[in-house]
Amino acid sequence: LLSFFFATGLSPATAADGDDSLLERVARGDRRALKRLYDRFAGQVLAVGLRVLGSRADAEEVTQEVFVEVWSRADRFDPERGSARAWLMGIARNRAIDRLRRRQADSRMAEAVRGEERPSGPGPLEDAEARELRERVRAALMSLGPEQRTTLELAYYEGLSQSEIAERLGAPLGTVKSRVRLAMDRLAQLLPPGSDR
Amino acid sequence: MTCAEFKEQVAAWALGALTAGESRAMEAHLAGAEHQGCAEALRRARESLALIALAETPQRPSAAAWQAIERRLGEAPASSSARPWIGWLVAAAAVLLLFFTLRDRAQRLDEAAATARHEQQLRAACTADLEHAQKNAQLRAEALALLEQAGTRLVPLAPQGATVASANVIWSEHRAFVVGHALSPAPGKDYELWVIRGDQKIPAGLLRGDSLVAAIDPKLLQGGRPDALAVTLEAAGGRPQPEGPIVLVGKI
Repeated sequence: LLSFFFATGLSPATAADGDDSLLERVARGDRRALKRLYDRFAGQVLAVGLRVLGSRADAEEVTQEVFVEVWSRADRFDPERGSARAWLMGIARNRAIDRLRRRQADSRMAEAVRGEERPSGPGPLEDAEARELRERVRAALMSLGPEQRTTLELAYYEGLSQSEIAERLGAPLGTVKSRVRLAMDRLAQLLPPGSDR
Repeated sequence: MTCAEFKEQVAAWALGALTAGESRAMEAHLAGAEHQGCAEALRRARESLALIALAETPQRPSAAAWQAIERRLGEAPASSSARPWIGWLVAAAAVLLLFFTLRDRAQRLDEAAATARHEQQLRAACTADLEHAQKNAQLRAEALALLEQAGTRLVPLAPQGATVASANVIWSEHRAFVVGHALSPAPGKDYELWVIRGDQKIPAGLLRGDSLVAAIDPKLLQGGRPDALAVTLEAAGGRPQPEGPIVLVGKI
């Protein structure tokens, strides 16, 4: 039955589809699989874009770029190197940071961030399971010391290098390196692989 | 790089927080044959990072967002008849990707050029500051040496009005220095020094700085001892004749 669907391009996209298999189908040119991934991840991609850029219009643009890139590069996804979600959210974060840097280069970031309200679009999109996971992730982040959390957020949401973080915080580079490592170790401890399932 | 060193840095690498050189070293290490869990450590770091994104409350994209993505992919119906078009769709997506890549690269080159220009300006400003500091240090040494010479006079310039500026003149027959404090004028203004002989008011340069030493041009001393020295507040760049208020004045 599956081979019939693939042969006709009418591949079934059910809730049971794993993210990895959806990406494999996208790599074969299955647009419905891309739509399925979009339905699953677009809300989170948009949220990260909003957090990084502070502008809904920019975040929407980034979301489009991300899924166009997923469509073009799905064949490069290697499940051995990480999950589909990690790959896709990595693209989302990188594209948002790229746009942030371009904006900073144009010296327009501060105005853009201050000038626009973040949650100005349609409301939150999540089910109970996603909400429960989000609360656990937030609790894990909050359990980090404030310095570790700030360091991690500067790296993740502002794309700063460890040297730039050290300069921003006025802390020694070695301290920043150790905060990054300890924070990530702690997150891995609190949210072990499979904890989202 | 050892596997232990790799694992020490793997979180920062996954975050993109390493320098280009450090990242290359990580890539080179990972490309090596023998490992003690390096790929697994990288995988774990990436998974943890993906979870950070989940801390944000997901937002519903606008209704037009998916349609915009479809337009970017190249419009083709999701049916069996679409299959021959997939190559074209992929090509269109690749062209789009190429376009964005080239555009990004051009923007990055522009940014790099702007950064280089900015650095050049900073370098020039820094060089000027250092040269100024060096010149100032030299002037201070010369002023100190003159002060210690027998026959040198020290002439205070008396503040006029409510000024906080102050200055003394170290004076000898052939050389003279002004040592001043709080000579930082408002924007668009400058403190100007004058050598006064009878009715003649000869401009002797601008004075700037919280703590400065300025040499008076020896040529201005050649006409014999002046009657007085004065400092006025003038428009930026100074004037050939004093127009602004007198801030400091002292008889020689």
